[in-house]
Amino acid sequence: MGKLKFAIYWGAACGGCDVAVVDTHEKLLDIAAAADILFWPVALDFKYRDVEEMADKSIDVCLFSGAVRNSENEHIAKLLRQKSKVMVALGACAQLGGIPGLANEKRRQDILDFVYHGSPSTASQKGVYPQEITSVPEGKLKLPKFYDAVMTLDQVVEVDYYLPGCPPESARILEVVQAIVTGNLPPKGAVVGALDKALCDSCPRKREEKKVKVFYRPQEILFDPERCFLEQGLICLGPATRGGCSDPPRCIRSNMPCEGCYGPPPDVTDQGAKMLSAVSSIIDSQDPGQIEKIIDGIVDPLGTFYRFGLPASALRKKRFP
Amino acid sequence: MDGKIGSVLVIGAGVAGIQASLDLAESGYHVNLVERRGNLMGAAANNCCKGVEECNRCMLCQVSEKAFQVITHPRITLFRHGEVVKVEGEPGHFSATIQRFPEMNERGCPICDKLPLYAVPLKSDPEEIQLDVAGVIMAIGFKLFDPSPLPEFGYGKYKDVVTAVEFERMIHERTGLFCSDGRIPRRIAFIQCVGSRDPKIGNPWCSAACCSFTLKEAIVAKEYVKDLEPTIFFMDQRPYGKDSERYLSRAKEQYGVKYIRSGVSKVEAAGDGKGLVVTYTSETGGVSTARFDMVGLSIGLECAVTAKKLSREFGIELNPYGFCWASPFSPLETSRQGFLVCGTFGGPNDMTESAMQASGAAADTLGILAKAKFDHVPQKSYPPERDTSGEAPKVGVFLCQCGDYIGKTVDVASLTQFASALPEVAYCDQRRYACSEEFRDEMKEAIKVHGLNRVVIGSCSFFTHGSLFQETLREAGLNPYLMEMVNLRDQCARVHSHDPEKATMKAKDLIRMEVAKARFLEPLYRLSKTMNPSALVVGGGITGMVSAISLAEKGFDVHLVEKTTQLGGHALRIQHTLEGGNVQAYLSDLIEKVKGFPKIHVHKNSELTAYQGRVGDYTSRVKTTSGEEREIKHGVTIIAAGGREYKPDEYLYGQDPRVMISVELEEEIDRRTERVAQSQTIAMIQCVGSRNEVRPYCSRLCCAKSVKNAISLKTLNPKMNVYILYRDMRTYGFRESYYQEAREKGVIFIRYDLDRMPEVKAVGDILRVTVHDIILGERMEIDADLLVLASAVLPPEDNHILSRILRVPLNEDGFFKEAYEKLSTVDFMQEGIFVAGMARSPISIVESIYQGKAAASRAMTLLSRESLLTDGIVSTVKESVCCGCKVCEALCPYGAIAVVPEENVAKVDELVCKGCGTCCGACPTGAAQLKGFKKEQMMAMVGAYLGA
Amino acid sequence: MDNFEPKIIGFYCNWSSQMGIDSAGVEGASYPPNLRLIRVMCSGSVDPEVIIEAFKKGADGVVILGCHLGNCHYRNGNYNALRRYRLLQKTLEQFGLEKERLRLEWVSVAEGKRFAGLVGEITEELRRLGPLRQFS
Ligand code: SF4
Ligand code: SF4
Ligand code: SF4
Ligand code: FES
Repeated sequence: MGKLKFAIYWGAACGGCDVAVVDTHEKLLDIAAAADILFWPVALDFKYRDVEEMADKSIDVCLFSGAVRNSENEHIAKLLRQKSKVMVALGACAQLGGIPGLANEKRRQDILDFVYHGSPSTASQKGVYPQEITSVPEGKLKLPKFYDAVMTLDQVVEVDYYLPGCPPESARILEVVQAIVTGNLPPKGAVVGALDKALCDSCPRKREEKKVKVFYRPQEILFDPERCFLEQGLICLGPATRGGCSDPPRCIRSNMPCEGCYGPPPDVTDQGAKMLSAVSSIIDSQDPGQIEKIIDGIVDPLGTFYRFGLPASALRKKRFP
Repeated sequence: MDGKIGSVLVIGAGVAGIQASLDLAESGYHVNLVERRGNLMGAAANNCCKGVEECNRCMLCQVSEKAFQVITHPRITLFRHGEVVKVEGEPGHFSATIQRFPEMNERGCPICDKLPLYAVPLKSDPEEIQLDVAGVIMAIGFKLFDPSPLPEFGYGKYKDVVTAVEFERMIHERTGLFCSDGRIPRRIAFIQCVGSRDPKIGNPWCSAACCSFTLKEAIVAKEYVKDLEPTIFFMDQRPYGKDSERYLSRAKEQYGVKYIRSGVSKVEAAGDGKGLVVTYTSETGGVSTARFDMVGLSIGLECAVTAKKLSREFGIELNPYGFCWASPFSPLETSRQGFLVCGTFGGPNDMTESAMQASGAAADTLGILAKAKFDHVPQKSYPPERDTSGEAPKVGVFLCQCGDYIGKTVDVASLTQFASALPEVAYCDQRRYACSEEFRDEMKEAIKVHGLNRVVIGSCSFFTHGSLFQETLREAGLNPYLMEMVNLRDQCARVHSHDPEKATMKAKDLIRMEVAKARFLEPLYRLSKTMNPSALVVGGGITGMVSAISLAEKGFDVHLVEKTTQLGGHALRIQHTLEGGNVQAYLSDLIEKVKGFPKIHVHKNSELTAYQGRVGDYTSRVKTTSGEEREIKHGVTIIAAGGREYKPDEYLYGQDPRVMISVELEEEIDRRTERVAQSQTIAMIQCVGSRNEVRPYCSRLCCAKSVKNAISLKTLNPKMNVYILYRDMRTYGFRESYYQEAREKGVIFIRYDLDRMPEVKAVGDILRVTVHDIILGERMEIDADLLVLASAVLPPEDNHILSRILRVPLNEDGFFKEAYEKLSTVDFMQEGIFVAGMARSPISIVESIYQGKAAASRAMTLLSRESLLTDGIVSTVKESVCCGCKVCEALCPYGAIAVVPEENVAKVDELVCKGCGTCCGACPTGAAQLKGFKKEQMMAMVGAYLGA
Repeated sequence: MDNFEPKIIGFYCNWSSQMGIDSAGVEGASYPPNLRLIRVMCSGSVDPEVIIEAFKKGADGVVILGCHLGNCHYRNGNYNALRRYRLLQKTLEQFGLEKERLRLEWVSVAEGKRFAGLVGEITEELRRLGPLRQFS
């Protein structure tokens, strides 16, 4: 068997996934020994043209991180799909929309307004917005089209595997790559590099009784570092999030509740819906007024329960009148 | 067989009749339930549960649910439009004659009396039916007082003067509150005690139920009309039931219900023709008037119209008021052996007491019945169940026209066509009556011929017909849970009769949705749990002993655990009941009886220390004071832990020897102590420690107790000055006549208010009670020889320990909290554990006797079986995805689901789970799913309607 | 817009609310034919995932029907429904769904007529709100 051919790309992403790839350290060299990297714009100098010229399915594996925010992301996603045998959605953004996906709570125009005018650090001329096509004396300048909504990778192309995480643990990336290299592949469509069980299963914290009278944010109280966050009124997405990031889970280990980046466990389609269901169910009150008050303590339910998964959720995006 | 009959006759299908029938039928006996009317539920049928946020406990829901159980119960035969005319024979062997009225309509639903229930052909039954029964339970109910002969209230003269019951019905039927001219009332008056507590008209009793009833009306009215000002004219506030005191304060504080203590002298039309004017005399004698848009008369209860006739025919005695006479310490036994009484036939009562008496009467009847065999229904044999696991879904759809009720609106022919064309539907047919026997036979045939493995029936309510069609599936060799129903009649045709086209469209959607769900149906199985036929009774007071005896009489082993060295509990210190019954004599009888039963194992000096298991199979540990421990295995548990006296720290109690509490006085009267005999003046203060901020509940029995003591004192020494300082005299029911007697004997009643409490001082030798006399409007000083405090009843100190060990809840006051206030009052949510007596709320001796029996009866509904069947619909956990988060654990009302630490996954105890699905809705991983209602099924239904 | 017929899904509990809903039919009350009812055991068992799915698939409104508070057949299930519904409603509002699109109502056996009125009112309200905009 010859060397495997890899492509690594980022769409709308922070680059954390690429860092995670680099973070495999010297192991990367082992990969390099087994594989050729044909395309990795963030690390090496490649041109889109190079890819366009490749034969279809000539890339063995494409690791695609980042969400699809604009026409460029979509174009390259489709291009890489066409050229690759196996398409892996790498990280929360590609799988679920990720943090960029939170923009789906905003109108496209509002985002542009804020970024080009509203933000304190911006001083642009009134009414000036990036145009898709700008004519200059030298010809026409083109910018990608900024879409109405952020999409997940599988909303534009077929995805073979999902490797969750924000970012995925380097060790998991390695394992998956190793599996690919050795041809040890699960059925298509599977989530790899994560467990079927939700995070609580591997969480070392003590669970006693889930009954909560007040919800806090981590900065608001001193909490017991040994006891389950949820039981102390801190919203932890552990119960509705796939485990497997690391053992013990890395956020929990650093005394932070799980934020849900590993996405929904296998039997859940809408992570936020499930999590809000569990969270509301542990409210310990039978007084409608008090229930209301306790719920008011959850300041931003959408941002909390869909932090990483808004574009992948059933409703995907806020509706505007 | 012991030659006895296993069948009972219950007369009257109101709340009491229904409860008694269900208890007996559940215990394995056959019940003939005879009702004069066409519908069940008696007076409760008029209750209007209304559009208010919080349930006001009219209990209609629960009563209807029970009524449905009655209709569908295989061991209950219902005779509607019928009357029992003759009962001959002896206890255990009666022969009863039932006469049925010619207008009998077998088809009418016994709940609504309107729509058809089952498609059985109209029978031309014989006019008279003979039944062999072992015992008779009389639950014939009451008659409402008719206020027309009392001209002062203007009833019948003014349209806006209505009885409280009419008021209730008005809201029920019109779902709103309107004056006769259509206006929405703003001011509304309720007048209490119309036709009650009125010796002039021959109704000296207190009707017991009306105070709470009116209170509820006022609150509900207020919910409808937000700016309504409800005013209640009353003599004494008597919502004495458990938790009623809180309800009363809520009415006043939250809903602004105004209470005016007064006597109403007349109701007239206002001079300007708008509204009504109520003239009333306040406590202090001042006459005032107030204007209202509407007046509700809180009418009382009288004995049932048929009471006289039946008493003559059956040879049972009535009491002087025309209600059924009952023996003092067997409050449910009539003068004729084998005839039991329960509910309002025995005296004015509310729903709670009626239901408890009903269960009690059932327990008493069990004694004369044969051994339960559950064989009164011919045993059916079913074909073996077909294994459908390998088969692809093949759905059969069966549609009903329900006479014209569906067919008139929904185009059933086109619906049939539509359903036939649905993927997976292998067969579809329709009939005029799907529930008719012929069609059910054809259904079975079709299932076999076409190899159907799922069935969808488009007809009427799952509630009424679900079990019938499930049965049909079983007869066809299919698992009964492979069936779904669409209520085409009540949820479609009947409510869209104005738009047949849209109704048909909707019907198609509904069928499509149910078919989509049906393909995911799985066979479900009912598990059987073994039943250890023995009981643990905690508490050896009257309640506990009565329970134990009822159980032992029926042959069950009982472990009676008593903390102290002696059986008898609280009652050991009580001499007489209000009615004059000798408590000590009764008590020693009872103790003898307990000793006489080898089946009753008494554990004195003992306490419960551990308890585990589930209904049918509990293991408890009992420890004696000397440290010996033993293990007890039992199938059910009854808590009868009693209550205790409050030892006041007010009014110099414990500091001045002349201050005592009511029981202490009673003992002294009994012993004829010197100081009682020498006393010139004795004062009593009511509600000491009750109905205040610390203990916002009424201790219920203290008013009668003080009246009883006062009468004794006056009998001993008619010259003695006896004062009773009270807030409301709560001598409910027939106790009222003793209150009257006390007044006639010269006992002086002085009312005080919470904001001006009596004061007690020892001034030198003198014990001085100062009270503000509201009626005279001045301070009064009573120099008493003895001061008697009617102190509160407290829950036993260790209630919270018991509650923890037994895992059943307490209410805010520390008494046990039953499943539902008012009904199911001796049951908990958890199956297999019951509570009676003072452990659940303060009550009198007579009440604890029937409560003890009630708990026994409820327990016997379980104990009588060899095993219990669960329902197939239970929660199930997919262990491969459950993360052990414990969200489900705290939610389950039955404690049926818990995370097993070793495996870190939740497990459902299917023998305990009741299938509410609460855990499933909450489970964040989707691991917990409710069988029969799984997510994929719900999603399929949604998808079938809205498209993928 | 005038002809807009809202699609409404209702989840009703097997006990009081079923009896109440059915009694609307028994009493011959009438209401608009826009509601499709789905039976569940208790209002507390309704899974928000299913509700959200209904909105995704094009329901204009969803109503959960249960026994009055304090009267759930399983005692507390409807309190659970209440807690879940409030948080879900709040979340849906952030998704731009008017809060009238998700309702929680208590129906008792005696409230057939009230239920009929309620369906009328809900249907009218949704008609006024117009169709739920779908994500495209
Ligand atoms: S909720 Fe969070 S803190 Fe609690 S057990 Fe689960 S992962 Fe651990
Ligand atoms: S809520 Fe679900 S995931 Fe959590 S312990 Fe229960 S069954 Fe398991
Ligand atoms: S379905 Fe209801 S009864 Fe059964 S385990 Fe879940 S919460 Fe408990
Ligand atoms: S059973 Fe009706 S709401 Fe729970």
